Amino acid sequence: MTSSNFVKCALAFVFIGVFIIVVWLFQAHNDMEQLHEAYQKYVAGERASTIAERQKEFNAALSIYTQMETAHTPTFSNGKLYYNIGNTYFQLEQYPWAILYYSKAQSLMPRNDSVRHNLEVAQSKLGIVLEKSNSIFSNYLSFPEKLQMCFALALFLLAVISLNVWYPSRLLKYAICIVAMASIVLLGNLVYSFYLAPINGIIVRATTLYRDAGEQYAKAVDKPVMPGSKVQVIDVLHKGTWLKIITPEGNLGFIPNTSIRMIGVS
Amino acid sequence: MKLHAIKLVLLFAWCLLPLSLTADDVKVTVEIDDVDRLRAKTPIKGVITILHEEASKVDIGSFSIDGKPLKVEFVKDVKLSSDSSAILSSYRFTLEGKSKGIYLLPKILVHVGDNDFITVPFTYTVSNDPSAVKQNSGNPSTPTVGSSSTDYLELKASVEGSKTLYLGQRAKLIYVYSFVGNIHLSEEQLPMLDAKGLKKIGDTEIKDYESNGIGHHVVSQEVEATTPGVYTYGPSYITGFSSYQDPSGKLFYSKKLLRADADAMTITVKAIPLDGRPLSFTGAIGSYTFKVELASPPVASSGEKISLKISVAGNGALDDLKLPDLCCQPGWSGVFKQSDLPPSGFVHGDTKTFIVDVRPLAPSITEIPPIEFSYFDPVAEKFVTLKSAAVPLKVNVPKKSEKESSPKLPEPAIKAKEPAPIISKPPLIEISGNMPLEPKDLHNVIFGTWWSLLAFPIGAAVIIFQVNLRRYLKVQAAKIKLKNGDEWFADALKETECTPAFYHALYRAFFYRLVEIGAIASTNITPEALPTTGISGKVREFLCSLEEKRYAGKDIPSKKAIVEEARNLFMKIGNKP
Repeated sequence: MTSSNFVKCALAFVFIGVFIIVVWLFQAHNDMEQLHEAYQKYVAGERASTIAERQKEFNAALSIYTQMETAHTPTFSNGKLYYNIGNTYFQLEQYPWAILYYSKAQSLMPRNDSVRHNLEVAQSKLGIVLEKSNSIFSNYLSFPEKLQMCFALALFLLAVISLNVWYPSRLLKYAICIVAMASIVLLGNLVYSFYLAPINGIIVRATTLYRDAGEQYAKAVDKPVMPGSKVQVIDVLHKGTWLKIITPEGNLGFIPNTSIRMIGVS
Repeated sequence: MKLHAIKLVLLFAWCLLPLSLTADDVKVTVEIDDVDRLRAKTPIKGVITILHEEASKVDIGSFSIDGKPLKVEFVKDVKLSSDSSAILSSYRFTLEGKSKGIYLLPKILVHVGDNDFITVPFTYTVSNDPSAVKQNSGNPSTPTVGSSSTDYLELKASVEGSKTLYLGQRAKLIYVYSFVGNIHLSEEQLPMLDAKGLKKIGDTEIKDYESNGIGHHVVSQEVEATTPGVYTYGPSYITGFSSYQDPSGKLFYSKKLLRADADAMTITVKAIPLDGRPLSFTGAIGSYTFKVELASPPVASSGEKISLKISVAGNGALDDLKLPDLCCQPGWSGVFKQSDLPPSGFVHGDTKTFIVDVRPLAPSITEIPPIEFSYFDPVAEKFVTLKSAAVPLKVNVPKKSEKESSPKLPEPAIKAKEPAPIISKPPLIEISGNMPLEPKDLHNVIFGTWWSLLAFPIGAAVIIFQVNLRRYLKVQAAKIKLKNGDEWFADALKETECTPAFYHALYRAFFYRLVEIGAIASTNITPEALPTTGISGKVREFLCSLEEKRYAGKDIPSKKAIVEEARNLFMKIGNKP
C-alpha cells in the first residue's frame, strides 16, 4: 500500500468521523432545545392561574416528552425522562398513566425519593396501596446499574487474571475466585431479572377480568380490574391481543392488551 | 284374702279381653261402586268389608239395612298375614236403583262373633247424566274401583283475547286439561307455552278446579306481541295412563294409553300503522276512556302549583301506558309550566291514574285546556283520539305575601339561567417538580445495556491471547539461547584459558558454521563423525588433532596458537551461503 493511498484512507476515516460527530452534535443540540422547551412548558403549567391554561401547557410539555420517548426509547437510561412524563400525566390527572411512568422511572431510579413519593401520591389518588418489593436488588440497583456493575466486574476480572498470567501468585488467584463469584452472582441476578422475574404491567384503563381470552367469556370476578393497579403478566395469547394476568388480589384471568402497559425491564 | 283379690282382678281382665278384641279387631266398612257416577234407575252395587279375627265368624244371614234384611253374597276371605289371625272378609250387595236425587245409605248391621256391628251412614247422589256427580260429605272419599271405560282425558287450546295482535298488545294463551279419574301424564307437548316469537309476561299460571265431576287443569301464559309475523303453535297433545286402587290400597295402572289432542293455534302480530298516527299517540293499544279533573282547588295564583288527576281506563296494558307530552298540546306551551320528570302513574283495577303538577304562568288563564289522548283500537284497526273537557281555572295575580311565601318562579318568558361559575383556580401541586433534562438523559447509560456483557467474552479472548502470548514468548526465550558459529567462536575467544568451556565453545563454533554452510546437517555431531573430505575434513583433522593432544596431555598448543589456527580455518570455512 503506497503512502498516498494510506493518506487517502486516513483522510476518509477522519472525514467520516468528523461527519458523525457533527451530526451527533446537531442532534444533541436539537434535543437540548426541545428538552428545554418542554421544561419551560411544564414550569409554565405549574404557574398557570387557570385550569385551561394549565392543561394547555402540560399537554404541550407532554407532547414533547412523548416525542422524545418515541425517538430515543430510553429503556436503559437514567429514568429522568420517564419521571418527567409521569409528572406531566399526574398534573393532567391521568393517574393510571402517571403510575405507569413513575413505575418505569422507579425501575431505573430505585433509590430516588422523589419518584417514590410521587408514585405514592398518584396511587393514593386511585386508592391503591403501595406494595413493597421483595428483592433487595430491585430495591437498590436498577437494571442498567447492574449491567454497569457487570461490566466493571468483567474489567476487574480481566485485569486480575491478566496479572496472574504474567505474574502468577496465590493472592491473585484468591482475588480471581472472589471476583468471579461476584460476577456469577450478578450475572445470575441479571438472568433472573430478565427471564425469570415476573413481568409487571400497569392497568391504564379499567377492564373486566375474563375467564378466558375473549369478551364472550364470563367474568372471572365481578369487580373490574381498576386502573393504576400493578398486575403480573404470566402469558400472552392471540398474537398479543390478550394477556393472562394475576391481579394484586390474587385473581387469575384474561384482559385485552389495550387495557395494560408493561413497565419494562426490572 | 289376698288370693281372693287376685282372682277378682284376673276375672275382671278376662271379661275385658273379649271387649278389647271386639273393639279393636272388628271393623265393618261399606263402599258403593262408582259412587260418583250413579245413574237413575240403575241398581246400586256395593261391597261390605269386615276385618275380624278368624275365630269370630261372620253371620252371613245377619246382614240388615235400616232394620230390613240385606241379602249379601260372599266374595272372599283374605288373611292379612301368616302371623296374624285377622281376616278381611268381603261381601257384595245390591240395592234397588233410585231416581235422581241425594240419598242416605243407612247403617248396615252385621253379626260377627258374639257381637253386632254397624256401618256409618253416608249420603250419595244419583243423577240422570252419565257425567260424574259431585261426591257428598259424610264419608271420606273412597277409592273408586273403576275401569278403563270411565276414564276421560281432553285437551283444549285457546287464546284469551284476540288471535290478531298489534305490537305491544297482550293476550293469554291457555291450555285446559279435562279429565275423569286418576290420570298419570306420561307426555305433554304444549308448544303454545313456549310462545316463540312473543314475549312472555310473568310466569305460567296454573289453576285446578272441578266441575260436574270433571277435573280441570288450566295452564296459561300471558304474552305480548313484540315482532310482526304469523306464529303457529301446535298441534298440541298430552298422553297418560289412568290408575285405580283396590280395597287394600294397591295401585294399578291401566294398560290403555290415553291421549288428548288440541288443534294448532295461529297468532298474527301486526305492526301499528304509521299512517294517520296522531301526535298524541304514545303506544296505547286497546279501548280506553280518558278523564281529566282538578285535584287541587280551582283557584290559584300565577306560578302556584296545581294538580291534575288524569285517569285512563281501558282493557289494554296499563302498566306501560304513558301520557302524551302536555307541553306540546295546544294551549299549553308558554302558558303552563310542568315538572321536568314525567308522572309515572299508578294502576288500580282497569284504570291508570296520573297526578300531574303544573303551574299557570299568567293571570289571564281561565281554564285547563283540553288534553288529547290517542290510542289504537285493534278491533276497529284505527286510531282513536280522545280529548278531555276543559277544566275551569281561575288564576290570580300573586300578592306580595304570596310572592314571598311561594317559591320564586321565572317570568313567563323564562330567562336563561346564568352559567355556573367555572372553578378556574387550579388545585395545589402535590408532587415534586420535573427534572431539567439533558440530551444524555435521553440515551442509555454508558455500559448500561446488554452490550456491556460482551466484556466477558472479549475479556476471555484477551486472557486466552495473553496466555498464548506468554507461552510463545517462553518458547522464543528458549530459542534465543541457540547461537550461530560466530557467536560460539566469540564465546570461545572470551575464555582466558583453554578450559573445557573454551574447547566446547570452539567445537560448537565449527559445528554451527558447518551447519550454516550446509556442510553438515546437525550440530549434534562429534569431530570423528565429520566428513573427511572438503572443508569438513580439514575441520575434522583440526579438531581430532586437538582432541588427541588434549586427552594425551602433551604437546598441547597454547591458547593463542589454537585460536590463531582456528581463526584461519574458520575464515576458510567462509560465510553462510
